Amino acid sequence: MYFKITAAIATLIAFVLSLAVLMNYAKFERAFSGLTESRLAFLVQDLRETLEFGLDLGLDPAAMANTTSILAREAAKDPQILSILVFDDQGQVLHRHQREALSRPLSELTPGWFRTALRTHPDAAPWRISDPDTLIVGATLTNNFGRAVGGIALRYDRSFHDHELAQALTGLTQAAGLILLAATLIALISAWLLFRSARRDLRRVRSALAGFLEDADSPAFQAGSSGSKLEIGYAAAEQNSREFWRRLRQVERILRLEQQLADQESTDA
Amino acid sequence: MPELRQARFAGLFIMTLILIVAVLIGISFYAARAFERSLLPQLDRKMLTVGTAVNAKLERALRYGIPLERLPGVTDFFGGVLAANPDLAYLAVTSANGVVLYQRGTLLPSVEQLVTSTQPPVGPPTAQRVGAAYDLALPLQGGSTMTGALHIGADAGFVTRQIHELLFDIAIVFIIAALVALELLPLIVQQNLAAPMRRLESVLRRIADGDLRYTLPASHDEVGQLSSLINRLVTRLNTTYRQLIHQALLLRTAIPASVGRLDSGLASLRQGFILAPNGQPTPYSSIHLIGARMATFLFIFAAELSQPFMPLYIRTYAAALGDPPAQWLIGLPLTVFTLTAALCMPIAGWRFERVGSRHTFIEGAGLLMMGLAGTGLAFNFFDLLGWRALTAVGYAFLYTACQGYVVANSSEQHRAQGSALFVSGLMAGSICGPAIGGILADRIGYTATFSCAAALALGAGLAALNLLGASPVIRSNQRDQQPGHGLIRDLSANFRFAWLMLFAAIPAKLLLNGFLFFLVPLTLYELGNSRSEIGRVVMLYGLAALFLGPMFARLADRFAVHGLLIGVGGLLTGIGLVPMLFFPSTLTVLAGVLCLGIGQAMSISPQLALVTRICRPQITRFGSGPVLGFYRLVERLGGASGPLIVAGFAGLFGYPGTMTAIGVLGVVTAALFSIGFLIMGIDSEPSDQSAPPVTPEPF
Repeated sequence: MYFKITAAIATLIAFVLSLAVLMNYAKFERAFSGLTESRLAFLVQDLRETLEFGLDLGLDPAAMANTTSILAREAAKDPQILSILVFDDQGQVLHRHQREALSRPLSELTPGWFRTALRTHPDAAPWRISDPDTLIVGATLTNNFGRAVGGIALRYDRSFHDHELAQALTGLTQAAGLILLAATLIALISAWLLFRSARRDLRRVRSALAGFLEDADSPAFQAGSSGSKLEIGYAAAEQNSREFWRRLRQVERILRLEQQLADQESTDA
Repeated sequence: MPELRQARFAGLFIMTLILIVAVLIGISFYAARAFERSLLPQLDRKMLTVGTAVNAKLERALRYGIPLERLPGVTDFFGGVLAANPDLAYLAVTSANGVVLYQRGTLLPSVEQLVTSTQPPVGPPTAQRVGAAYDLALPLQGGSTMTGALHIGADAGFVTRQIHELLFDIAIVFIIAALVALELLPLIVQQNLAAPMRRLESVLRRIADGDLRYTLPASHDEVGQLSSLINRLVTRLNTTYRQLIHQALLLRTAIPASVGRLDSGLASLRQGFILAPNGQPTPYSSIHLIGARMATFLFIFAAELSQPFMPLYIRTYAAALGDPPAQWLIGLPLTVFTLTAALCMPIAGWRFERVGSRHTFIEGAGLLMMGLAGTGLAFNFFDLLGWRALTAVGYAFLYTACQGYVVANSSEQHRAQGSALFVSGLMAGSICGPAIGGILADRIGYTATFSCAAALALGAGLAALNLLGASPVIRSNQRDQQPGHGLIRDLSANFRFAWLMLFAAIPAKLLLNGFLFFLVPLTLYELGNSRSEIGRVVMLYGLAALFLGPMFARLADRFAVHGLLIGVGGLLTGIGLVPMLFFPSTLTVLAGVLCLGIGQAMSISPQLALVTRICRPQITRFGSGPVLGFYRLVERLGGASGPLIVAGFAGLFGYPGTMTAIGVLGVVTAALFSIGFLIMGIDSEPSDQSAPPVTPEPF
């Protein structure tokens, strides 16, 4: 009984904890991703302003010679930046800085992908896309006449980001597991304390009934003045059972006597 | 002694609540610590990135020879940076002697604190806690000398704020957990302790009264062990008796002279005792309605999980037929659901009469599960309609199975109690469903939430195997029956009944379905609320109805103010919706939902009581079942029309305008109802019969 009650409470607490873990993790994921992406978006915005300054002077994006060094300088600010690309409105990469010694090659972004990015994000606000390996944060480059002439795409290593998230989830799950364990133990002890008097009553009655079944002449069960409903009920039931048992034995004796009488008569005959 | 058991249960419930609170505090506390460990370095990096870029710009100006204290437009520039980075609190520039030259934002520490934080760092610059902010100080180099410092600040309560933003959701989880505990714990205690103990006491009482016909179901626990011993006792007494009878029969045949003596001995033996027929005691069984309450709770929970976002979900499908989609397209699946459920109730009733509640419930759970899973995976708007209809059929089956089980297994005297159990399960489910559904949809998306709902429906079906016993076939007059032509003619001629339907029952359901299920999710979403927040607001309706419904029902019965409560309830519902056009905000919607909950709690039970009074001649002639069945059907049809009518209004007036329009409609109908009944009065004398079991309709 205690185990069933404890199991029900533990199930309920597991449900509560899983919801709490889910909500906390989702919040963490949003806050963490938000911070990372907003930092990268700031970098990209800064880059965009620098490049648009050149565009405002009438320079051709393909001909801006110091772009690659600017990209390298920005990329040096964070070792998790894998590459920064500047592309034109046709999706052709004009300048590229890529981190050396990548653990595995980055998937290539196609001209079509760049064109779609420009089409779907025509305004100056930074955009964010994610692929299995990288977080991509980009911005559209606009010239003096408000025309999109290309864009910037910064690719950021997901592994650090994913590792942090996984670590947070593992930590939350482990903490929830420990809390669940502790709560289950408390629930078990509390259930035992709450229902031990019922158990005691059941034991007393069971022991009395076992004694009665063993020996019908055993002393009658006494419920006592503060007896439980079960004890009082059992005392009355036992009393009536004794009475019936007494009658059965009486009839049994009559039958035995009749049998003896019949046997005697047949012997006499 | 029952008080002692209640006290034990109360103790168990309180202990569970304390554990839930402790668990929630524990996990939140851990989360806050873990968030701090992971988020602060990210915040630091963000401050450094922004600081470095801003610093570079300022230093470029300094390199042109502009003195630090005369840089133009610095504050505006800071404003732009802060607007683009809301996670930063302030930007400030201090001179080399600690004077604040430029500043923008909030939480700026005092000059002394800034001076302290400007001390040259030993390693790379890191943020320090300064007052209510984290402050990162970067030196500004004017040539080779340090001319000042740039301070970038972030709110030190950034991490705590993340946890605080969760507090509402955590509180909702607590309320839901408390409600689930209120459903689950009685069931467990009932099944494992209270019911076996009651059976035990009942059989012992019977033995004490000389009834030796019953044994008890044996189990492996403490109660089961005692039950086994009682079974041994009863079996032994019966067997010994049978053996003696058999022996006596043999003797009677062998010794005819002993017949008289034996008969008198045997007659006195069984005097005051009832023995089991053929010496075979039968297991004592008792039926508990608590299982039906849990089953009701589970299926309503599953069905209502999608309620706070259903119109939003439908809109994504309707958009494929026209962007923006016509409002009536969004309302159509809601109407299809309510209409199908209303029309399927008789089929479900027919099924219930044939196969009983357990089978009907399991069939319903299967249909509900398929419907919900299909809704989550629908290809287009049209198959979504089909899935909603299938869900509604399942809903009708489940509803009928649970209601029928309660009616069939409760005596006339305990019918109201049984009905209250059913209603409490229903209301608890309608509180938990939307609240959890909103949270889940926000975190795991629509399809996964529908999958959870389908899994819950499956769980309800499996639970029913254990929770719903094999119930007897329902008596035909105990359930809402289908009205015949004579009854419809008779009821249509009853002017008071028609007035009640037109100006109270139908508007109440129309407002409920149109406002709560259609307008609230769409309006709140337009006002920028998340699906969790929509769920929380929708949940308020259930909370008000759950806690206030029984109170208003008692008030209405005690003071015989059924008509008054219906009128006031209708007025309150309408008035609650009127301000929306003038003050379109989340708070106004919330107030509207609360007014709807209170208004409906006031009017639902009294409406049913009023029907039994004003339709006394029809009830005498046709019976209460058909009359109430017709009342329910018309009411449900009114409910089904709600989303479509409201969608029509929404196309013309927009959501806030529609709320006001239907609010005015509610006020007008409630006023007409009140005026009509003030003039007509309630024909019959106050009923001396208790009102029939009140089962508020959730749709």
